[in-house]
Amino acid sequence: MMAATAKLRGDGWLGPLLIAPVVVVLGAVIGYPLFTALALSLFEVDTPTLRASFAGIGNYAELLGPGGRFWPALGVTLVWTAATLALQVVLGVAMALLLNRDLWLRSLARSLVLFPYFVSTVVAVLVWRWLFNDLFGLANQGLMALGVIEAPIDWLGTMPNALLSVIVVGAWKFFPFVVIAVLARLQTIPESLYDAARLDGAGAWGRFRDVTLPQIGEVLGIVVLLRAIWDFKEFDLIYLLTGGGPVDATRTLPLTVYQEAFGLNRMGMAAAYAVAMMIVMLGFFVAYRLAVRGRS
Amino acid sequence: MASIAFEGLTKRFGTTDVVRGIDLAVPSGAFLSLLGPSGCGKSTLLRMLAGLEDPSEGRILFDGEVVNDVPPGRRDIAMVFQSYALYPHMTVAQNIAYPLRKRGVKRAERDAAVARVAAMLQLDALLARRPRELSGGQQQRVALGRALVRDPRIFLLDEPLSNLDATLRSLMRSELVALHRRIGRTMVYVTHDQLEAMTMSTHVAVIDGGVLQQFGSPADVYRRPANRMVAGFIGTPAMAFLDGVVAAGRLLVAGEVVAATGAADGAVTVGVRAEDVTIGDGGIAARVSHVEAVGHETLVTLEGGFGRVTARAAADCALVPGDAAAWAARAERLHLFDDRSGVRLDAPCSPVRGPTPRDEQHDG
Repeated sequence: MMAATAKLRGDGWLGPLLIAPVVVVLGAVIGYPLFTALALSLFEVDTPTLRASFAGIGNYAELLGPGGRFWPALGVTLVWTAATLALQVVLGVAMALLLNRDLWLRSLARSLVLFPYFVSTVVAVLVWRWLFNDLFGLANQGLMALGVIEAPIDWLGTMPNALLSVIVVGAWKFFPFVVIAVLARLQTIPESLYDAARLDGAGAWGRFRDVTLPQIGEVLGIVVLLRAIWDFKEFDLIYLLTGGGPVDATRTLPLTVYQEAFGLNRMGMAAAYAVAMMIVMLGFFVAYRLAVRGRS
Repeated sequence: MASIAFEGLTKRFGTTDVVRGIDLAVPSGAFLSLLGPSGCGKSTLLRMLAGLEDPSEGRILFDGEVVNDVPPGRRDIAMVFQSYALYPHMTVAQNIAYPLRKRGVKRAERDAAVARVAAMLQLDALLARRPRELSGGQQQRVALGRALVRDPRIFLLDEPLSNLDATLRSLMRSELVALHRRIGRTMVYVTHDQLEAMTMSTHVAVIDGGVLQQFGSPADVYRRPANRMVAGFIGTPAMAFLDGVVAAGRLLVAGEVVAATGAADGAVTVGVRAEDVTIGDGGIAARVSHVEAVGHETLVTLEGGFGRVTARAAADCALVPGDAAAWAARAERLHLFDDRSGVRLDAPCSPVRGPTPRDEQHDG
């Protein structure tokens, strides 16, 4: 006993030494930037020169105040997140149900459906901008040929078209994630549950509601939370498609941060937006943790 | 309650016939076992009965009415699945009430029905639990409860006891029989366990390779197996099959006359059940190859030029492997099968009077 204690005491330095590298790395890549951002947000900083003057909570007062753009940007972000997420889920679940059936060329279809998720955002957005082009875009050409519209529509330059376009492209880009997760779960549902439901008198809708939905509910909850977080901080897709325009109509919080930092050269204000955004994200995070804990 | 009839029922998956031209009929209130080895088509037969599979050919009749085109939910049948197929997110009470809910039964009526079934199956204390919080036996009873609650005219049970341990299985066996007696509904029971089929059923249909091999009472199937397949499948230990020859009204095995028979001259297959074999001084010479003391009896396997037979001997049997022994079988209990087709030959065997003494035959 004595010997063991002594031995432990002798090796006392070993534990801290072993976790030190992790502490250092985490401190460098998470702690330092976080602290810097918090500090920056209290200053007025000119991006090119990095000349700073202390502003206290001035930045926060401005962004939350009447002239500030936090609340409008948060509104756009929430609309974008909610709408594109809803589309992703509906599209993803529908596609997963389809791909779970004995379909002709099913394996090929299963690979193809992942395509939007794997293709680079830049490439995808360029293609969509071609499709949306008001002079030679296929979207306008097709609709005009079908007689649905008489004149080309400005898909990305006017509201509400721009926001709708962003939401649709976002749904197209990210719905395969929902498909993968839901399809994997669907394949584990025992066939006998459907047989039992049929014998119990459940129709197609009844079987979906009473067997499928409860079974995929769990994975759907996780998928929705993850995608909500990712959609909330989505930058490249929106930036490349509309750049936040027209005016600020599609300018979500990440785009506002970027614009403050590099468009308006107000690094301190950008940091303040980022911190405010982080606090909102923290809400998502807490919801996610609670949901995960609730399940287990 | 309903009678069931199959007429030329066939199921084809692609080019494979899983079920081939099955004809059989059971009266209302019967307990029919579909018995056969795995993959014999018995589950497919049950699924067609349930309406979960469409027959490729033939008709299914309930009470003389063709139900081929009636969807599963309207056939007024309930099924207990091998895996129980309980809805995992619903409580026991919700699981049992589900078929009623789907039929638009009022809440109060539903609750009363659930309470009645729960009392019958001793599930009262478990009603608020979810399936994953139950043991296998309890899940089994919930599955049974879900079938019982709407009082269907036919119950289908797909190997419902196969996931239970031996003790619970024999308990559930007698509970199911008691249940059948109490509610008097027609039950169709799929199993590969001949003991279940023999002990529970009023009717047994032995199926192999998608073909109905024999249909009759358990006693029929045991005492007068229609062919080698049925004979070998029913009974533990399995019936021994020996090469025999019939010559001038005498049945010979390994050159020894074992019985008088009316069968035509030629080669036959002789089936011998363990309980009909006596080990004694006279008879066919053999060597003991294997001894299994089961407790209340000892199973002795004998080998020799005739092949191999198993005998049920007394618990205190002192034979050990390697011992020399002679055996004889009760002549009137021998089964003769055509040596090529395996079909039962309906020629009675009887003890031979005369040169070969067979006194011990009448002992057992």
